[in-house]
Amino acid sequence: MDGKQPCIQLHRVSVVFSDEVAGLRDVSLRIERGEFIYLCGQTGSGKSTLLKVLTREVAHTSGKALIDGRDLAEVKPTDVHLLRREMGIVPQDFALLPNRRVWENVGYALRAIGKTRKEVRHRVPEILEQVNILHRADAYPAELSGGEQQRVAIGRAMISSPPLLIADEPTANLDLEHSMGIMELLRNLNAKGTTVIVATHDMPIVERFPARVIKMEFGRVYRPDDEERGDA
Amino acid sequence: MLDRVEFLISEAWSSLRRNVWMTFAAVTTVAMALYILGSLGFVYTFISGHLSKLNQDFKLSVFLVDGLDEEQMQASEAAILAIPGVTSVDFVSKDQAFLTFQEANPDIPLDDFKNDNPFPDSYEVQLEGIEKAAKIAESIEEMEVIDEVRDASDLRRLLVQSQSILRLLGVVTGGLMLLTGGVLIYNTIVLTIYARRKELSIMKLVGAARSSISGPLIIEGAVQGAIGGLLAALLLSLTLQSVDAMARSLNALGGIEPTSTKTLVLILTLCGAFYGMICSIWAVKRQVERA
Ligand SMILES: Nc1ncnc2c1ncn2[C@@H]1O[C@H](COP(=O)(O)OP(=O)(O)OP(=O)(O)O)[C@@H](O)[C@H]1O
Ligand SMILES: [Mg+2]
Repeated sequence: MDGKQPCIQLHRVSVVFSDEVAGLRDVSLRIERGEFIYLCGQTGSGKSTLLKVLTREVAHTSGKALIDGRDLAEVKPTDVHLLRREMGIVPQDFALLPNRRVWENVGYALRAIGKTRKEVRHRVPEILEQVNILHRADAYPAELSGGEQQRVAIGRAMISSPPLLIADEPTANLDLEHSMGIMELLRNLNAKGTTVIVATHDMPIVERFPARVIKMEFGRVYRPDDEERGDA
Repeated sequence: MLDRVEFLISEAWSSLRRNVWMTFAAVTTVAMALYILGSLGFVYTFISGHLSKLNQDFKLSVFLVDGLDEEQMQASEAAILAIPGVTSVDFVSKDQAFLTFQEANPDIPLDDFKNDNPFPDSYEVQLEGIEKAAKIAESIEEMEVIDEVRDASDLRRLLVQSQSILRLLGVVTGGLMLLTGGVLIYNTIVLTIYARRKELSIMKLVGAARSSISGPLIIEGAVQGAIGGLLAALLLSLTLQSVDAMARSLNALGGIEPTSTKTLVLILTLCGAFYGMICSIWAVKRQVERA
């Protein structure tokens, strides 16, 4: 193993939901710190499943999955929340609370991870500024465009300033202009050192913001030639 | 720390308000259950107290036939005293008995009976222990000068019987109702979990500790149980006090010495809170932590 620990390392990871349904089959890959990764593939190819393995929403059934050298299978259920604080998660639906304002949405998440009211008052504007939505802080999610909602969701994912950001189809329902705005935001976060993994099947976006692509097909990582070896 | 507590409580409070009718149902059922259990429990301990008093006081009341002469009296007294197990014999004349009764019941007009005293002469017979009471009573009753022997064994049997009835009644009515109350609390928590599924999933997403996620739910259950307990305590206290007042005014029994309101509130509220907590932990275990 080379000196620097990779951020993520999967070795022949499979997720079998039932006898017929497998979400992932023998997936091996390696993602370095500070990388920007696209996870591409058709609907049902296993993108979300792969991300959920990383967030421990889904337990892999075989293989080895390491984040920062830590074996995910060995994270106790009572410690999953600590793992999650090391990563920002932007779910496929934005999962904003409809009856709370933008700043309350972020504030609620901060309160939930144990921050005091004072810290919330201090941190929320910072976070909203970072994702460029501070001017809509008092709006309810329904009053926002899809792109703006996505910004709030990204902001909420950044509350612990995690070294890793995982976004599942962040541009799924957005037009090109808004999609580009979101991508610029993600690239900026990446430029500041955050490792970013984006699941998407939005090819125009991938072409506009080129980065390393991991392509998935039927639960496997697709490799045209065998250049991309997952096991280090 | 205080800030954390405030977060948990405000979360719980918003749920309690949202489920106000469900909470109402749960709280009243728990209150009724604890009220029933509390009153049965009170009567039970009241009876227990009497029983133990009875069991410490081994006494027979022996009533004499009318018109005995001095010699017969002395002979009978000696005969009773000679029975093994008898420690003392005290003579109570019919006039004395009348007076004692009159003193104990000043409200009952007894003037009509002044010239025709219905009380017989009697002996208070003190025994060594409760075990031989029935046998001794039997042998005293065989004597010719004795009209009737009363011991407390009938009363005792009655009390013991009513205790077992109370136990059954408590288990059936109070127990079932408590179970229903528990299911209602469980259901309100499940409703809350459903209503707050978005909040809960966001909490999990951002890495909230388990205590932040389940804390408010458990508090919600505990508060429901505690309010139920408090209501039951107040109601029970009111009941006991009015029964006590009634008993005192009838003067037959004397008071029932009701448990103090403070004690009742303390005990029942704590019991309710504990019970509510158990029910909500049960709901959280099944509905949140599994997912
Ligand atoms: N909880 C589950 N139980 C059973 N099967 C599942 C579960 N989650 C996902 N699957 C299956 O696993 C496969 C991969 O699903 P996944 O959600 O990872 O696809 P995806 O690449 O994210 O698709 P999309 O682009 O539509 O989001 C699919 O066939 C899906 O039906
Ligand atoms: Mg998906």
